[in-house]
Amino acid sequence: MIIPILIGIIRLQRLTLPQKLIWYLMIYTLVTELLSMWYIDFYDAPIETKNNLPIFHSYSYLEYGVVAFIFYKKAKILTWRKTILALSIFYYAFSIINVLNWESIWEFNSNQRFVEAILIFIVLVGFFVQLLRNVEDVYFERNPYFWLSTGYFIYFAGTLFVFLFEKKFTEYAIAMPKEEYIDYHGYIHGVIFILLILHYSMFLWLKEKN
Amino acid sequence: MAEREELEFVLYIGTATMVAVALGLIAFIVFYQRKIIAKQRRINEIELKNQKRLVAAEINTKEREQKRIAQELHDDIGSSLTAIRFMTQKIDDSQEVKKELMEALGVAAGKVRRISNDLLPHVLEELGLIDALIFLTSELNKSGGTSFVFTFKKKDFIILEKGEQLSLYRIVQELCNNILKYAEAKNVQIELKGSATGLVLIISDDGNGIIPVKNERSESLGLKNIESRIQYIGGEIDRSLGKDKGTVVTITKVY
Repeated sequence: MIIPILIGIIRLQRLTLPQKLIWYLMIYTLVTELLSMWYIDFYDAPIETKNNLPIFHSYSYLEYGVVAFIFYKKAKILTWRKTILALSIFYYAFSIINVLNWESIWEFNSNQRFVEAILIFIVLVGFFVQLLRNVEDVYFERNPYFWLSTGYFIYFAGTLFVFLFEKKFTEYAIAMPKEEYIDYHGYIHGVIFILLILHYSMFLWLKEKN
Repeated sequence: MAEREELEFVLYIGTATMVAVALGLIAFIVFYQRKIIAKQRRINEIELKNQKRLVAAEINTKEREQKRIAQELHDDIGSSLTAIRFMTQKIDDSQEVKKELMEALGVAAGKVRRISNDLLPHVLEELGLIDALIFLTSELNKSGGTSFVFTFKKKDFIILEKGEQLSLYRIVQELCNNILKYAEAKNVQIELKGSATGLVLIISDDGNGIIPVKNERSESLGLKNIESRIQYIGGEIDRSLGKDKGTVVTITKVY
């Protein structure tokens, strides 16, 4: 996570608004990660009653907002912009209903993450279609948004099942002694997250074409 | 425990499948885009070829028409004027009128010759591009004020078809006229270098550095002609400012 943040610092003056948003999100992610670790270390409370999940909830809302805003800004067709807006309204409405009825802020937000992944898939597929229609953009690898979109595409595809089964694996983790439990799904998430970080780095490194 | 293992199995398979699908889709997008670009390039190349063919046809038609007019002026009107000139010598009238008539006819015949030569450079037709350029510079030097020097080394040679030679000649003619009109130059160097791989034509002057060539998007017919002729010969034109002052126009053609 340090790499994209450093790239952001180096290129701060030249970053566009979407790049700055991703950079701020990276800083927020780093802060929440550190905060979560600190929380776990200092509060030795039972995981069912007291945990750091509200921080993760807030991260999810912010992450979706940033992604939706960036691709809303990149959308060239008005109908598609309206669709992204409608999807965002649906997402936040669903998140509120989910927190109030099914998964409180102290529980892992599997439903919300699943819906978020599906909605972001739709937004990204729309962006890919737009990319294919633009024949002037010869080299995708020079387009920062290509890296951001593929990064998210792989991340949400790879973590769909991880988040879906998160609650179940947490139950297993609680039931087993800490020394015996091997957090495989956590490792999977870690590997995919590193990939996303690399894509973030490319997104922040490349210059946006006018 | 079995349930956990089962769930882990679903997690691994599900994640692997999803990542594979995502990567496959990204690969498909990249390859499909490359395919679209390649197709677009082919279309552009065909369009460019057609455009070149059209330009060539346009230039050929124009040159043919100019040739016809030039021949008519030279053979028909020119010879008629000369005949009249000889006939007037026999008129036993006032010597003053006769002299005026002779002068007027002489001027008219000269004009016809000049127009005819402008339309179709006979030197080019008969002796080729190098001699035509030597002749052109000597004609331009007659205008005074600006000195034109043409250089072509003996060891050099050029490989151009008749139509291409004419186009290059016209380009030089147009550029030199532009220098005379706008550049306020004292010296103009025209240098032609040729080898088995291509040719380079450099026209440099010490004027004010404002000879319009291409990229200025001018509506001028002369400039449009330069552009279409460059396209016709399959060359490239580049304009830059001279070391001290003036402009350097470089035309290159690779065989």
